Amino acid sequence: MTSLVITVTETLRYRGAIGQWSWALHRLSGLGVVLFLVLHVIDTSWAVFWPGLYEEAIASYQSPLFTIGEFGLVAAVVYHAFNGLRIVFFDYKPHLWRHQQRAAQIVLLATLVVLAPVFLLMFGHVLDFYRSAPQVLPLTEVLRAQLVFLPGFIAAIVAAVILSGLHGLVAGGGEAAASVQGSRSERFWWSFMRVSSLLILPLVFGHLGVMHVLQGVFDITAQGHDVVGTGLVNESGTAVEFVAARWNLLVGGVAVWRVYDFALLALVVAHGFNGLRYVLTDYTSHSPLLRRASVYLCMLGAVTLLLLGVGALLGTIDETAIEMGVAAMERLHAAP
Amino acid sequence: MQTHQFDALIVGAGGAGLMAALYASQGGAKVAVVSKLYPTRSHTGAALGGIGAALGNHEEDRPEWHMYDTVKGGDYLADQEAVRVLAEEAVDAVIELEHMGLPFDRTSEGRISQRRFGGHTSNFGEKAVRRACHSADRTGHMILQTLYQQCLRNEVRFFDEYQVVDLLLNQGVACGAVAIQLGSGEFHCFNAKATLFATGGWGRVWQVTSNAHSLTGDGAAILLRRGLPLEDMEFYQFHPTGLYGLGVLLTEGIRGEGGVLLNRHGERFMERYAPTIKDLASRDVVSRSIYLELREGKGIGGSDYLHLDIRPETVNRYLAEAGETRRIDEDFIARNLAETLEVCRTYAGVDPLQEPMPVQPTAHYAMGGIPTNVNAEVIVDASGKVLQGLYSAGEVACVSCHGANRLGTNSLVDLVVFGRRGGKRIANFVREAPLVPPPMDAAEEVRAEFERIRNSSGKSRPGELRARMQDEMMTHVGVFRSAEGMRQGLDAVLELRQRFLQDLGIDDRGQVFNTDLMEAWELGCLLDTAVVTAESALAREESRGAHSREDFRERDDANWLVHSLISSQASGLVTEQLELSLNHDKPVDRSLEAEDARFAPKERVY
Amino acid sequence: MDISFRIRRYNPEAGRSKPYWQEFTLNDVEPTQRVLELLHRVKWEQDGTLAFRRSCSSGICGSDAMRINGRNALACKLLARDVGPKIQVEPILGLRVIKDMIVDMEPFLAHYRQVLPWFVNDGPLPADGRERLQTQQDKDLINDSTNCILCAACTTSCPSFWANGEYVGPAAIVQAHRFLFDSRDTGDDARLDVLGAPDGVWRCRTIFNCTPACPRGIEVTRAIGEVKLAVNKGSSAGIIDPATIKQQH
Repeated sequence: MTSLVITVTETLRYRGAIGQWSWALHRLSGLGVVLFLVLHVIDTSWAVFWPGLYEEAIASYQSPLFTIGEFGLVAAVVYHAFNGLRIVFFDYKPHLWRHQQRAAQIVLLATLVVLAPVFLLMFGHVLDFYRSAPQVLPLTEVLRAQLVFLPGFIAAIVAAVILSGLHGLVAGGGEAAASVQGSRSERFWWSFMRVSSLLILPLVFGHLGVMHVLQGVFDITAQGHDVVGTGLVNESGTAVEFVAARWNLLVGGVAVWRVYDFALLALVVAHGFNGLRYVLTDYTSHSPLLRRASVYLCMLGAVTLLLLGVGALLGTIDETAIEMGVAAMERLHAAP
Repeated sequence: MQTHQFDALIVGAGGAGLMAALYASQGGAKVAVVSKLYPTRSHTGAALGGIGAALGNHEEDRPEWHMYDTVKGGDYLADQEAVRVLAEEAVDAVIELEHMGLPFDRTSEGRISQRRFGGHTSNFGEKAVRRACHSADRTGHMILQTLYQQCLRNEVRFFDEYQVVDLLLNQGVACGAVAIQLGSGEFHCFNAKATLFATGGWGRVWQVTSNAHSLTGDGAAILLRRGLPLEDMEFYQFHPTGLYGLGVLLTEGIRGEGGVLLNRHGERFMERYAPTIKDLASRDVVSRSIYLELREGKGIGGSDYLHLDIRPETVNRYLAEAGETRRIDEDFIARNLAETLEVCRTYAGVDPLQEPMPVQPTAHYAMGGIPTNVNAEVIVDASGKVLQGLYSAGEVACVSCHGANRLGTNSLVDLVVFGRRGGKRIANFVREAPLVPPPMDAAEEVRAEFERIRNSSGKSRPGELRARMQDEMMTHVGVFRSAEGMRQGLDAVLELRQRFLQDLGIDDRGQVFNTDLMEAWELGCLLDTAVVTAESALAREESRGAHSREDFRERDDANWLVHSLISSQASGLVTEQLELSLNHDKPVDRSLEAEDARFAPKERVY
Repeated sequence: MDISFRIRRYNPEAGRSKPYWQEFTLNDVEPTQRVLELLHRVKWEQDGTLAFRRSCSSGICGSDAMRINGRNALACKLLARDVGPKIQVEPILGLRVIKDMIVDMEPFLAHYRQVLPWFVNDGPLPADGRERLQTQQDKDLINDSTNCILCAACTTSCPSFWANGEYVGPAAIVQAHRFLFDSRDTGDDARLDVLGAPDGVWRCRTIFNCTPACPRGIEVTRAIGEVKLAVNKGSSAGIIDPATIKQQH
């Protein structure tokens, strides 16, 4: 914990160059995206496992708190992507380091250039939504809806610490072997982070473009609105139908959106949780117990999300689900 | 007090100490290295230009020629057996350094690259020769790093930031040393069968010096206080090219690569003083020439510095004039003299590629020191009697391979050759020798001296005393000396020494990293070293090598072709009176001269 | 010129258990004086208890790395005119402060030793008893990394090291680079294992604080990058293109 405090205070005090600030932004944006990723994957899986809850989640996403968060999310993803490219470049071409400062400036600039029109479009959706005099979930409701995640997080952390403790008891002093083993896996992960980033980039930009820019999160529940990328219309105006329309679309016998979302899910979960592992293990080097716990936490998180996500992608959304969505929607709208 | 027992104790972790530690440990000895600095901070790291060895990688070269240059450079005072060892073993030692991984620059055949250096010639003084093996212009740095790394590999035990403050003697045998752990202020007793002093020089006696702050003559002073003699203390080298004002060294390698010294008229004045090898004459000659130029008002703008010019257009002009085909360009300088460029740009705001560098002579190297034989064993009298268990190597030692003036590159040669010999000798010695226990009250005397300093509350601050001593020594016991001036300087230093003993005042009374205390104690060492330097210099009534008397301008081989030994008769560690006695009975070894008349003393022309 | 000095003091023996700031004023400072000289003036003229390490005073021994006006540097390589009339001096970060500017260097040196920083070639020596051959081009590959003086300015400028003292850190990696890319050295395998470990070279996040911190002008982040590629490849061969070696001016 002290090392985290020192790093934070001294990062603010040490007069490093732009690289230091880029690093801080990269970390913060990465952490932000991982946090959203957890909520988003779990929420989306409700569309299959618990359609009523899914409607509630989407209603939350349409609240002002999440709208602000959505802008932050898009900014974080864009910056993280561009700055990641810069890091990948200089990691593979270290002799060109003299250009890194310029590159960091370009990353900032490019982020702004991309974000300006994107934010304008997104803001357009926000304006449209509020012009239509919508029913917005109150903040307390939104927070209450997120509260259910808290016990989940705590449970994951406790489980990770327990696993780490057991691991410590069992492994005892096998440090050296672990180190060589660690050596191989760290090499893999270093390459994976870089290669995966290149694959994630088009997928995540496509996803953001479709779901947050071309159409807003508000359009998901607009009755009679096109379901983007499918040519279908959302008859019931439920989020569940929206998901069903996308995932059930077959092109040449292939559920293209399921494939797309699966690729995105797998890569982002691996990239994100490994990044989280980097961050957590950085600040827990003084305690082997917490350090192992950090690794277990990331593994638990990744496995949970993959199970839920893949389960949902393999699941079916039928008429009953849409009816449950409609019912939930009515319940939400009836609430004061 | 904690006591540590080892076969061998090495005091000082510069090139000589590490070399000795490495070879002693390879010979099976259990070795401890005690150093007041982290080993890689030692001043060997500041040696720039190269290490001389007759490898002949560019042109024909022979150890005999290296011997000749060294004897001549030392103004015939060097012990010729030591010189023979130095030049012969230099070849081996350099090859061994390469085998240890030292990253030398390379010739086009991939061999160790060599450059010219002051006073190094082929065929007995005929022309300058490429003898200095180099790693850019940070050869010393690479030697220090390489040796430290190999010591780590050999699991030599290092006691970093332990400062040795006293020698342990029991029944006439050296049995270790007392050290202070700087981090805790605690005294530690190091009990060893063999103790080697490699503590470096005492350039901080003078005001303008190339030496580190840490070079305070501790080793020499400790032995002096224990009644052991110091040899040839009057011979102290001023390097011709210190950066003006700061004294930071600009390597002789600059002139080795073709750089020239110029006076205010743009004249290459060394052509007048040393017609054959000009700017590459030995250091005493060049330093004196610079002083003479300055005295005639030929300093730049009438000031007290001259120019050293390495700009390609200047160098190439003189190369063409000399009929040489070699030319240099900016890339060449940037590659080979990177350190020089960096130093000039940082400290003088001068870019040597654009303008000449301002230089003045700077106190640089002690030829004298703890007398030893060629096996690095410390000797205690003119007959060469060895003190069992005590060794010394490097700058603090005086095996007298440098005589009255050291040639450039020979300091590095000295420390690897004699450090190695010392290490091997120690490895053999400790196999048979018993461990003599330290005396009962091992640290009492030195502890008392430290308590005196720690609790001192007089009016004389160490910083002020030191500055005054440095000023006096610079003015009166510098490049040119006279009886009158030296008497004046000596009296002043003796008075400062009295104030140090009676009126000292420091601020820090703590135990942890009390650098105030340590600096004050080092000042005591400096004062003692300054006094014996001045006394030795006063006594030698001739001019020889670095010792240049205005009242005795000639070399006097009839009376003075001898070493001087100075020792203190005072009983007690730090006493009011040093009670110095001088002796000039130690003859110069002339074994090379006996075989080859070319080694006989004659007038020194370059 | 006059200089006002703000110095971070810490002396557990003097009855103050916490670090604090102390101000000193120096008159008649020459613009070409080194910060180290100014510290000496404070120590010698005003307060002898001020503690800092120093030796050569010309940037080669590496004793006096400290944080000057918020950034790591050697006090003997910065001149008064480079830092202006207000100078703030603090110890380097990430290592335990013992007294004033003096920090515990042991963890730093432990990391240095960890990368096996010594030349290894147990093969036969040249039969002619002479040096091993190496081309100047091969030697130039390690020119930069052999410049390291272990002052710790790079390692203690690294946010990864501040966070995680187990990280071997930039200096140790530069030292490893010096051997990995030495064409004569054969000790790569053991070194690559150490560097590939979880607290090895991978903790570098390519932040670039270390490169400007180096008082010797070493391309530190580049060296780390090259070591990463070597670990990744399992060999140092062919990682550095000789054409990209900088000329030193």
